[in-house]
Amino acid sequence: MRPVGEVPPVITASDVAPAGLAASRTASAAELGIVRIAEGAGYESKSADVTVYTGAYDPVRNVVYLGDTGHANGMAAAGGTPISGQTPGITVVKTPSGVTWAADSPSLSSVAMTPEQAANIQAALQKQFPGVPINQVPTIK
Amino acid sequence: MSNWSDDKILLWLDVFSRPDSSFRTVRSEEDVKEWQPQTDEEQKAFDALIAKENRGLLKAWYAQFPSINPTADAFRRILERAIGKKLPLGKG
Repeated sequence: MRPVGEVPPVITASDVAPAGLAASRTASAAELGIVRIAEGAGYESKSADVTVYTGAYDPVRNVVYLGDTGHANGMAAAGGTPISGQTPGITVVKTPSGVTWAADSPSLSSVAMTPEQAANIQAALQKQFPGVPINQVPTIK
Repeated sequence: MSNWSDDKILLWLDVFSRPDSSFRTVRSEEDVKEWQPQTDEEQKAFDALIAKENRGLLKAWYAQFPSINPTADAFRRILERAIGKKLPLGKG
């Protein structure tokens, strides 16, 4: 949507196999645990030093896919495949003091996220945004 | 659904998942009652979601989930108000 002035080291969508390929969903979850961000993604709020990402978590691949064009579209832009009821949408907000995330999607809306999956998302975000606190909240407004 | 991009309900709902969506201002039950689409794209997506010809798809969409997150549930209530009918969740 909008280019970002400062983006942490990013693994872009071009690093991954085309979305939807069965083979791309067979990777070991344990070996991944990473965030993939669509190239140029990151919506910058006009009112504050805030960057917002929308995407989803793929529990099969253990990868968080982030873009900024919605939860399903954001996930797809980053190389993931949105699946209703299986890939919970997440919103990630980055500020200078930390990162906040929530599974608050109106489109990829299932709440069937296990504590382990939430911990995996937390760990992946910590890897992507090192040195800042990462907090999960119920909803981001 | 063989391809996620063929799922019209998902794509219309995704308009309200964007970082700059007006739906992100909805905080209270009062907001749920008063919220309206703010852009042409939001209006088009909302009109499509509540259109009579898409009622079956919309009901089937929510019926596939035994539970949804609170934000999604707020949007579901907005849709219920707009169509004057319940959109029950599934039994899992």
